[in-house]
Amino acid sequence: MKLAPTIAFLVGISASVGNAAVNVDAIPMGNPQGTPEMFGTWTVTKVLCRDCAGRRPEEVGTKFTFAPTSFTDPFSITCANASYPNRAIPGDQVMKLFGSNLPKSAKNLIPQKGSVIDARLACDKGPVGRVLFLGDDKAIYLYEGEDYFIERAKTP
Amino acid sequence: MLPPSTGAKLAASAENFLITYGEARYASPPVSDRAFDCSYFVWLVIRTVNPHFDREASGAIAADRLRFQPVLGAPEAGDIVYFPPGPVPYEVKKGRKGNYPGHVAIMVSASEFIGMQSSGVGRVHVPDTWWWPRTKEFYRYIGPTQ
Repeated sequence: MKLAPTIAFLVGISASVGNAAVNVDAIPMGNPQGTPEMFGTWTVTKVLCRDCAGRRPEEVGTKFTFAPTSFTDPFSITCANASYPNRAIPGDQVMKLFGSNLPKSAKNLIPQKGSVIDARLACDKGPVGRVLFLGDDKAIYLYEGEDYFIERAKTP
Repeated sequence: MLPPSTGAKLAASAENFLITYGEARYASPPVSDRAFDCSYFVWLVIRTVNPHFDREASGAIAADRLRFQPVLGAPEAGDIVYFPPGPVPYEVKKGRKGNYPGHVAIMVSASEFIGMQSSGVGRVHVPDTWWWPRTKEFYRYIGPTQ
């Protein structure tokens, strides 16, 4: 009669180990044409910095435009030959991938359930930027000294 | 026709690796060919002309007079751009005066460099607002090639 709980315990251990063993780095990027949830006008609504003390978030209000064959990235370039190689990664694995690089203020924005789209902004001969699309018209634009929380206009 | 110079080879390798490692993420210290830092990218590039090149941190590259020669004039394709640790003018202007880590990358033209950036391996068009106002130095690889 004790067999069933023992099996359940073992299954639980197995699932846990299996999930931890997933090499998220090995998930390939594809679908360079992007997806509709990427396209539209996005506005910086929050600066995510490692140490925001004394920093004036002047980037708030900056607008990006991502379209199927072009994009405007005020922190990089305007591109007329765009692509968006991307991959879906489990939400609970995002911090594992970018944890040492993302500010702590980004952590609470990452949905732990479902997946996040990790996309490169590529122009002509390769990538110039990276965006984590979180769903619900929210995303994080990865930049240098800080990252930007961006939200998509409801009527692109 | 003259064979391509070492600089041209390094620039071509950086362009190739922009695609090859386009999915990689920034990680320091490096974890693998899919998660690494800026000096690891430079190491990958230089290895294409010298497979025996030992990986050096960005500051060590700038200090290595045996294999890297300072460039006093305008940089050329294949030169290494080195940003020493220090404040970033773009951030200082916004009130943040702390120091940022050093960085190293490969110039692929006078107006572009390719390196492992915070967002992954990427091309940076310069002059930009974040990188180019920083203190920067250029070095040319003069080590052995094969």
